[in-house]
Amino acid sequence: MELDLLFKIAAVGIIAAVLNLILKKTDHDEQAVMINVAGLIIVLMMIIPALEELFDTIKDVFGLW
Amino acid sequence: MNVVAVCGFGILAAVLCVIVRRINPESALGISVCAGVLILIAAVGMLSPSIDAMNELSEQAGLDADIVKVLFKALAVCYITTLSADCARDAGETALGSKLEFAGRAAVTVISLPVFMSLAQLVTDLLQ
Repeated sequence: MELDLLFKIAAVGIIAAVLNLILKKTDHDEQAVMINVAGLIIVLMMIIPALEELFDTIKDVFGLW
Repeated sequence: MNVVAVCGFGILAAVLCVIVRRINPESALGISVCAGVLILIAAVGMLSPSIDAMNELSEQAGLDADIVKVLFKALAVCYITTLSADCARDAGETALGSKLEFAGRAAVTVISLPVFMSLAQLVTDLLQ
């Protein structure tokens, strides 16, 4: 029950949005898009270990494969 | 992991999703997926003692082990497919969600094939 994982993902999302706005205001629009994509990738990279832990728990409890 | 902690965690995740959805919609989806996965980990963790108890009961009742194994495999497949189908529906992809559920049903039928075979075998033996 890692509570801080949720807060980290929220923080990454908010920071990406703020950077996006800053870059848009200083007319670096293409970098704004890059920041959005980077933020998304970081969020996904955080989710993958949780998914792996889920599948390991299911494998241990149910003896699936 | 008691239920109170899990419920509090769920409420907090929902509130966090609402806050972040206005600022950055994609990471709101990330938060809901991550919260779903963590809650499911806690739920499966809670389930393990009952699984062991069912195993012991089925041994005492004389059921052979692989039927109970098939039961648990189907349960695990349902767990995973519901998680992914609901995450897809959360992201607005209802068509993807229903396809995931169809794949889950196919997997369950494949897993439960041997049980059907043994049932058919039993019936033919009885009829002879």
